[in-house]
Amino acid sequence: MIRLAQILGKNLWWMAATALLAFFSHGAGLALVAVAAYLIAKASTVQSSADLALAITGVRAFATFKVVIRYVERYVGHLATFRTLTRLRTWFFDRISRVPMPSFERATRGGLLESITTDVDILSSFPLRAAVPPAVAAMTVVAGAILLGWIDPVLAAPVAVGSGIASLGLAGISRWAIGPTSAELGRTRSEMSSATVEMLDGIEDLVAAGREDLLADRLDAFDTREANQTLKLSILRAISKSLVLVIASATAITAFAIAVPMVTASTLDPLLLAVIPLVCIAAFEAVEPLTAAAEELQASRVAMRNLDALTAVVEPAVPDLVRPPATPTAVAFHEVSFAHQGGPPLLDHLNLEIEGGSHVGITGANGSGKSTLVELLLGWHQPTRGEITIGSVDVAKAHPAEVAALVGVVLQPDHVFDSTVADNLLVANAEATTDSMMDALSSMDLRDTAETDLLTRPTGPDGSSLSGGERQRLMTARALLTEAPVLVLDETLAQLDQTTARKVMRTIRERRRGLTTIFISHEAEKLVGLDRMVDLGSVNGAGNAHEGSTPQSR
Amino acid sequence: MGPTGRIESIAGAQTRLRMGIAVDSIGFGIQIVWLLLLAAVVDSVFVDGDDLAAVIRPLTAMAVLPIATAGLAIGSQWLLASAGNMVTTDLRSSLAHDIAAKGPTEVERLRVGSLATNITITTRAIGDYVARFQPVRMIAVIGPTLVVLAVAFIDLWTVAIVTFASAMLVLLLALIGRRTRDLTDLRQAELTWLGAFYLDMLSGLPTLRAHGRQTDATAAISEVSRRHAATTMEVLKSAFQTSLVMEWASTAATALVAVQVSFRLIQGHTSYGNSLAVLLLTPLFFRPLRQLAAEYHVGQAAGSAASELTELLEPTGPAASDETPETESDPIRVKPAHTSAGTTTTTASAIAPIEFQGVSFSHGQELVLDRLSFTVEPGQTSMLVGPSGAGKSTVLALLMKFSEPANGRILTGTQNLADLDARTWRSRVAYVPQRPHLFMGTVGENIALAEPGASPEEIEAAIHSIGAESTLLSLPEGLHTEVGERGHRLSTGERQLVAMARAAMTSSELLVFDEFTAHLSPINEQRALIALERLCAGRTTLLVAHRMSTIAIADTQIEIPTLSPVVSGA
Repeated sequence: MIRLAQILGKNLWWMAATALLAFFSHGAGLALVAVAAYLIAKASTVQSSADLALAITGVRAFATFKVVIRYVERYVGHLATFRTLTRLRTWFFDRISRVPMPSFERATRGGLLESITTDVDILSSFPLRAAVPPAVAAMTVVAGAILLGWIDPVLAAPVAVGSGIASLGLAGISRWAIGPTSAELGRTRSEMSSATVEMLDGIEDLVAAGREDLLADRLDAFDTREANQTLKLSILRAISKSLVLVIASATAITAFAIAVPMVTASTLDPLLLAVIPLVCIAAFEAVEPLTAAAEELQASRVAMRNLDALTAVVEPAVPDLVRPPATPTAVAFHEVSFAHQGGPPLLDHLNLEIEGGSHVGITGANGSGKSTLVELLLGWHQPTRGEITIGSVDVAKAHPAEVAALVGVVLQPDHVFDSTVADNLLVANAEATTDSMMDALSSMDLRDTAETDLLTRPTGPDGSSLSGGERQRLMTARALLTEAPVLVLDETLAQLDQTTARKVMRTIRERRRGLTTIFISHEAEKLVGLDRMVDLGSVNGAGNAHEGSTPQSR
Repeated sequence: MGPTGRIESIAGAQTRLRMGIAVDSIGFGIQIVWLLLLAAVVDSVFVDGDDLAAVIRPLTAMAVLPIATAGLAIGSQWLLASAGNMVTTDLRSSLAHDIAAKGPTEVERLRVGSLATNITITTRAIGDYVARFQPVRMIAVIGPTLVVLAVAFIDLWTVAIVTFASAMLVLLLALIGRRTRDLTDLRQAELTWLGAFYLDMLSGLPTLRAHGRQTDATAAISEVSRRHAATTMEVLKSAFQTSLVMEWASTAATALVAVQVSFRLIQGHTSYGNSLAVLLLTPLFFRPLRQLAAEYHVGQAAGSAASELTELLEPTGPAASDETPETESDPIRVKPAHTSAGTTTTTASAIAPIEFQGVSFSHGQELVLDRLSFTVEPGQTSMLVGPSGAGKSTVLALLMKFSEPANGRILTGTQNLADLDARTWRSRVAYVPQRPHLFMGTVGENIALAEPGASPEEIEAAIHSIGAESTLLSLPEGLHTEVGERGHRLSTGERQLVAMARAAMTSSELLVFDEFTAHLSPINEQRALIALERLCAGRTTLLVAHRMSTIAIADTQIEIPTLSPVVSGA
């Protein structure tokens, strides 16, 4: 939890303020009950209402104070929570965006969503729900004990002992029963979510195979588990709450039983007799929320661990970068070998030099390492040996963001954000103007239809409102907008028919004249008119990248 | 349908809910008795001067009663949580069946992220409504009534005070509550949207990093969170007003009762014991109301969640049980299998020609197909050709009944496809999409997707029939090889062959392929083409492809024209 405190920083002051306000509110409640009990006891022994003036004023003052403070406390508390929420969301996204790509890829999509929403939400309620209640309970119990001790020191004992037992009991139940159950429930829900996302992603295949029932079947197993754990948790919570109730009652009765002989022996003012059990009960009202607090604490721990595990190793913060000028920049792979951990070698002593400003086609069969080449060039994976340079920059030594600024890319697969066409283009170049965006789109043969403005056209989730070809061309237009010194187009043409592919090729070549551009495709016939062709497939594991033929047809 | 509209139809859930509430009410009654006992013992010591021995019996009873309350509380939680579980389970299963029946077009439209949230989390919100909100709401009526009944025997003035305070409370809450509800709906929509937004940002993180824009995205997240926080703060500000009123009513009533009884005590109009009793009972009157306020968000969330689920469940819900005649306006309608089985199986044995007659289809505002007509002859391999975006995939989606044509009809033999039950029709077709989805599990399980009972021998036979044994059977653990999430442990080529073997497992007379070689290298493509040729033999095949090598095996080509913008505006 120290970790969380570090992340929250100044937000901790808000937490402390909330705890103090909550204590005042509980304290006022306790005082109200004590004074009211004293008031009626006194009223039954005096003749004139003038004798009650002080007590009546006390009752009114504490009542008003309690209401006002309570409202302020809730407002401040929730403000603290939301500041925490924003802080944590930003913190987590910043971290996850700097997690090295291999680890990022290992994390699954459904699980990720679960982490960022659920875990971050849990953590953001930590101040109000987990940290504040124990502080308030401690202060209130101490205040109650002081009040009773002031009446007679012996009377403070039951509250002290009772609250001690209650705290230990609650801590035990939450540590050994509620905590593990709630963690299991969290896991079940996360797995259920992942499995549901997986099934829904494959719905086309399921429906085509007539196996719609599989979704319900998979869900059913998780549902049974979730239901059992939810039931168990509800019962454990009831046990925990009942424990506090039983101990509170026992404390009140014990304190009362101690006080009665004192009254009989006249060592205690009888007017205070009713005050004693009532203060005990009022003090325990602050102990009751501890059940939920202990659970929140456990959940926060788990959430923090999850988020930390997900973002254990991160790259340094993204430095401020100046957009590199679009000048001819050479790219070189020198003796590069690469294999995934424990996997077969994907690249073996690869030597490839791409002249600055040249247009090069790289072809090769699946598994020949074309996409690996791109990921190595972007610095997402480190080669097991050899070095890669872009101009004078050594990829291994540069920050990935620095490399990203040098290399514009269409990934395979690339992501279309669920927004507008314009927003997707702006991802590549935040400063792009409407004209330059329209220019890039029309160069890809994408134009406004009669009734829709192309730039404001919604793309749908992951580009679902676009056809396969439109999507590819939008991605290519986006890459063209980067005006990066080096542009890599991975399988940009795969979805396009021969005629469109050639047209697109020609436009790209014109726009990228004098700038290094690498076309990657498994279809050599689509790569026409380039300065040089490299067949990666024939050299996998062999040594050097072989020169292929250069089709010059236009 | 309200959040609990379904509960009546679930056997046992309603009973458990009622029993749980009844048990809770008994527990509440015991608390009243406990406080009355406390007032009595204090009275006998303070007024009558009794010693400890005289009050030891009621004190013992007071020590035992909370244990009984505890037992009742645990029992009621068991009953209520089970009721909540029953409702959640029922909703999940209905949703899963419904969404699956609606098919890919609807799933895409409604978004995988939100649907998954609806199935897993929203259903639980409604379960919580039953298990938590519903009982608290009932106790908020029963509890105060019990307190008023007890107080009525002791002191009518106090009854007047708490009645007045609670009337004010109800009035004020009604004024504040409506605003809160509107804001809560807004917040729920915001939450769902945020879920989809995060998923989108996270899925796009590689792209953002490739463009060096992750820092800006972090800023965007911060901005969106802040806006979300502002919305939520608005809701809570009203919720605080609710709790302010609650706090005020409870505290003011306690103070009023204390002052009132003390004045009447001086005048000798009431006894000390009675005064203490009503003073103790007054806060208990308000406690269930405060709990209701604390759980109010559960009720609100469930209300919003329920309307969301109702939208999801409604279109096919009633339609599935009604056997009303087909209406063309309902594109996602699913008829019960038994009504159509008789009409469709009669022609299943013969391979009928597939005929598109003037078929039009629009994607939102945009016209994708305009009066398209063509025929696929039985036993032949036909290929759809046309420029990118001409609607080739749409033709296949219509043929698979993932969508229904806006105009025109699709015939199989003499039967209109619109009249056929989707499931029955699809069982006669083998479909290989552009990017086949492999599910977590083994290679064997994935191949046998459409024939879950298939033996290993049958699966191997299917693999042999497409000539993929050298690839698929030589995997490290053969058919038992785990494919991993989305099949990532297999190569693209291997995944494609698994999808082909899936098609080979079925006895479908119609094969439909969507650009299945688009992502393959020449070697893998060669393997896939061999598999394709073997598969096509003796079956009607419709495929989309633009690779020359694929064109070679097609008997006929069907041209899909591009629509000019002028046409789409018409």
